[in-house]
Amino acid sequence: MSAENVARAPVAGEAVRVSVYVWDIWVRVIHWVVFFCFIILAITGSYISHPFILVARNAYEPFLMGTVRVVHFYTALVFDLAVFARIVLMFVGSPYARWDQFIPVTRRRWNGALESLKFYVFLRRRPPEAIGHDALDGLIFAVRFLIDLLIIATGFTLYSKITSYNSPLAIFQGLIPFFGGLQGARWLHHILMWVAILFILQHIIRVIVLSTVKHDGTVESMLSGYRYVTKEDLAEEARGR
Amino acid sequence: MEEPVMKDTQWLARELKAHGVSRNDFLKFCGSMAAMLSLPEWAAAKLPATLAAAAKPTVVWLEFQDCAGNSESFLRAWRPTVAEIILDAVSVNYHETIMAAAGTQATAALDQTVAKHSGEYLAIVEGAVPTGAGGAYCTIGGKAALEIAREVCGHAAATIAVGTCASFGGLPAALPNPTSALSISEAVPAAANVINLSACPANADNITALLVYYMTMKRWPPLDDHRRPVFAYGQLIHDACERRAHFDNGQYVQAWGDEGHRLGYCLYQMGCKGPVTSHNCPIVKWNEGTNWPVECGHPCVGCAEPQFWDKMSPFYKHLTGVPGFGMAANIDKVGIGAAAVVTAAFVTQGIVQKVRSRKEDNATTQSHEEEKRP
Repeated sequence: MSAENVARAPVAGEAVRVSVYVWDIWVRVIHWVVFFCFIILAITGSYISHPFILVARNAYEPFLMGTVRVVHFYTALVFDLAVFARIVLMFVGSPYARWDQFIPVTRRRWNGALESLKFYVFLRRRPPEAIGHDALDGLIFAVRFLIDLLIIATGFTLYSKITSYNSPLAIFQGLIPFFGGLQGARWLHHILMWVAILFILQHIIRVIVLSTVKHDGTVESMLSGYRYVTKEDLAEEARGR
Repeated sequence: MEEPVMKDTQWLARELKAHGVSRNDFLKFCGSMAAMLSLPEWAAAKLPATLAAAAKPTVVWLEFQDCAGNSESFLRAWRPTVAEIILDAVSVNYHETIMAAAGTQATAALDQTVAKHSGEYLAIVEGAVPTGAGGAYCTIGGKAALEIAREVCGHAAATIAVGTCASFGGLPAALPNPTSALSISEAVPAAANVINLSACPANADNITALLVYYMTMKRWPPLDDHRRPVFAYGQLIHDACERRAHFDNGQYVQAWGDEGHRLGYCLYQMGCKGPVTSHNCPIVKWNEGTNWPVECGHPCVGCAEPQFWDKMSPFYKHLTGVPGFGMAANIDKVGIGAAAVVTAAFVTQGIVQKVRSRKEDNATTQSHEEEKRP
């Protein structure tokens, strides 16, 4: 192994870590597209739900709500495409982007999830090692994907009734009764935004914590693509796959 | 000798003459109906002649769990001189609120119509059908509402459910639904051609237009997923609202009677359900086209949508609350609280684990250093 592959001079007693290219360019680009789209969607969506900026009486053609709605709709389309692209990557992407990173199918992944859970309830001092997604993290993201899909479905349902009658998106009108009417869809769309915000908060905090506890560069990895994993784990991963 | 059954094609002309309705008034009525049904120009031109030659439909009007609000609405049909004839004179053989007959005579009239015109008459139903306590919550002449509905709607050519109670259960079926009330299509699944004219009450103009469509086209207009005619329920109230420009511009009423309210700004923040309700209120309006709720400064409560008592309430709030936090709980406040809890929990967990791991790091480093010492 060349010297630059070693993460840093290891703390004595700590395992030697090597850098592994975990997140390919597609995963990273999609990650940030989803992130920035979500921020725009949350802000515009909150304005649509509760218009916190009011326009003066004599303003000349302000069209504020109209503009905010248009921004929301087009950002939503980019968000949807990014989420669908990520789902496609689950089947055609790198091993660390595959669907089995999210849904545990091996006993090893289930054990990993359990061990990870132990770390969060203080039964373990250090989180278990993983090269790609931590097993518990993957499970949480599987739920997050379902929530994203529900947000997308409710969004299209709401849009289906205001789009032109000849728009292909009008087919989503069929989902209106499924969500208990447009008001039901609107309610679900709004409440799921908060659920998604909770996911983002726990994700950011946990990534920072894991990164500082394990010294594995998780935070930077979403920019560089590289993560520092122990040699033992790499070897085990190679065997266990 | 039995008289041969003749199709009476002159009844409307006779009635119009008897009521002193001028040809001009009749044409105006036909024009407004054509506009309401969005008929093309050629069809609108044919409407007066077709309507005049149309067969007289037989109608029975049933009332169950209701407030008679739809009857009220129907009796106030606009352009009464013509609509009265279309609605009132279309052989309403049975209508509890307005019929002269009472008791046995009344029920006999109903039985007779059902027996004589089986499969031909139109049943207009107002009110929900209670099924709890063996139907004891609503009985007419000793018969439970469900029994009457099955018998009358089951033999009708079509059933028109007027009002939200008959269409979707409405107020009687609102949670906790103490009488186990059902809509007509739920109570009598066997009923043919059920058409829902929801809203609280159903707009008399829509009832009239629906009957005119049936009498002239001999079929029912296109219906949406809730079996409501598309001509009346095809568009969101929000999309035809006269306050829509204020919505798009970001000008909203903030409190009752504030400057925005007096200027006629959008009622969105006062809980208006126009964006999620499909109806033609803003176009047809009420009371002879005088006004409608939003125009007179009150937000739409979404009365034309299924389960509006449960789904649309609180009526003056944008959204229903969060389960477990109450109907009036603000989702955003609950969301901010949950975000704070999640942040606090994970940050605490992280800090504790970091401190623990640092101690461990130090301990191992120390022991290693001790080992290295000779």
